[in-house]
Amino acid sequence: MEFAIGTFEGPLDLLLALVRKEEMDIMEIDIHRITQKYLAIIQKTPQLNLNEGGEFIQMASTLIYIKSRSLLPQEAEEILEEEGPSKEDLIQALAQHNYYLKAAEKLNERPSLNRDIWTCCSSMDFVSVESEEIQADGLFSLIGAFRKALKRAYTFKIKISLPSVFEWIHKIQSFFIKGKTRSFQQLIRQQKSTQKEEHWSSVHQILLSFLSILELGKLGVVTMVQKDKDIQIQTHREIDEKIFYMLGKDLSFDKPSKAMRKGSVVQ
Amino acid sequence: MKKWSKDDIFSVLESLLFSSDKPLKISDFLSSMGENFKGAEIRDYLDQLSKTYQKKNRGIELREVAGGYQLVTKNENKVFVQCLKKRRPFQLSKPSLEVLSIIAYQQPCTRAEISQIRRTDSGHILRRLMDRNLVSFAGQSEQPGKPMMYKTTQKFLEVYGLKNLKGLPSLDDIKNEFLPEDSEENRVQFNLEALSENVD
Repeated sequence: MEFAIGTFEGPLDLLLALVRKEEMDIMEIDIHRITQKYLAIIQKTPQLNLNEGGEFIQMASTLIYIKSRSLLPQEAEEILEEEGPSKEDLIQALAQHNYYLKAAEKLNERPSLNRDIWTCCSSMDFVSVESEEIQADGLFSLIGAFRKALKRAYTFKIKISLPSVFEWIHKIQSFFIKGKTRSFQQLIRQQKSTQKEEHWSSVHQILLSFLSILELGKLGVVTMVQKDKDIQIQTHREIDEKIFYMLGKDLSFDKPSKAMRKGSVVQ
Repeated sequence: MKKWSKDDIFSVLESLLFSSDKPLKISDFLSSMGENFKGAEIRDYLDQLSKTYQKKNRGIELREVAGGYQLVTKNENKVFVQCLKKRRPFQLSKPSLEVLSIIAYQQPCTRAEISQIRRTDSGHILRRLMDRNLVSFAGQSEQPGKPMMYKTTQKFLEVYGLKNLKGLPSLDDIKNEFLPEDSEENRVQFNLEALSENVD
């Protein structure tokens, strides 16, 4: 089994997993073996960033400290007694973490509302409607009240998946015929007739089309001239593989498969 | 004044329970049904009502939870109920459950205390638990900087079907589960229990 730091919630979690994997007893961990295994995992992690990995590095230093202490003769150990973390502290922390994990497991085993059992009003939201007065203790009760008010307010987030500009050009490429001049209005009208089944609003389509011709303009595929309230688009070359390759680079897509990834817009 | 037959009382109690989205306290029943009842009386009727739901042919049960009474579907039927629910079932991640457990046993406690036990920052998890109304502020600690303390909510009791916090398994019991059966600590405890029984 390969261990990666990213999958663990903090260094204790990783340490506990290692103890289990090595089939050790928490109360009698082999500090030499566990330190070795722990450091091997830390070293394997490329670019451990200090913000996320700081706790893991701190634990590594604790382990090394405890390990080095255990190598000292008994007398020196006694002198050092009051300083720094001891093996017992570590065992205590691990055991405590383990107890709470067990407690969490037990909690999760209970029949839970809206998972195993339901009330007649289970479709209601997880928001209490108890009224509570803002106490005079200032900032935090105000934050609490604000959170509650926010929960009660009706907010809607509508997520629409929009195609990326890259995909959009793919979609409308038939519009661009070498040597022909057509107007932006025609482009929009063509989409309206073919894209009826799509759920994006026409505003999105227009926006995407506009961005698309700008991109194509940049690559020299088309030139644009504004005429009255419309744009005349003159196509100079076919949109072929090469253009898509350049587009992909331009829009910072490495591979075509990645290019098919959908962008999303939150309204 | 309305004359109440036994059937009337059961009928009204059932309607009240069915109409509520949160556990009803005895005081809620009293305020709805008038003051000519006593709390103990209502409790007695509710117990009787609860017994009728315990029959095998019933699909709901009356449970005592978070200091009140609530009608819920039976756990045995969850598979069938789940099929009709469009919302995702209630679920907490392992780290969230751990933080929730720490608060449940240590409350009121500060974020730093929770993080100290887990040896990793728990702020984002705390925020999520607060958003789900399972955890709330519990005043400020006297420690330097007066950090906020956290506690579990009524909703927490309701979700996990607890009458009160005493309903949680004790942390000592959980610790004992990890001790080998004939460990010294276990034996001492056993002896103490035997002794205290003798004293009784």
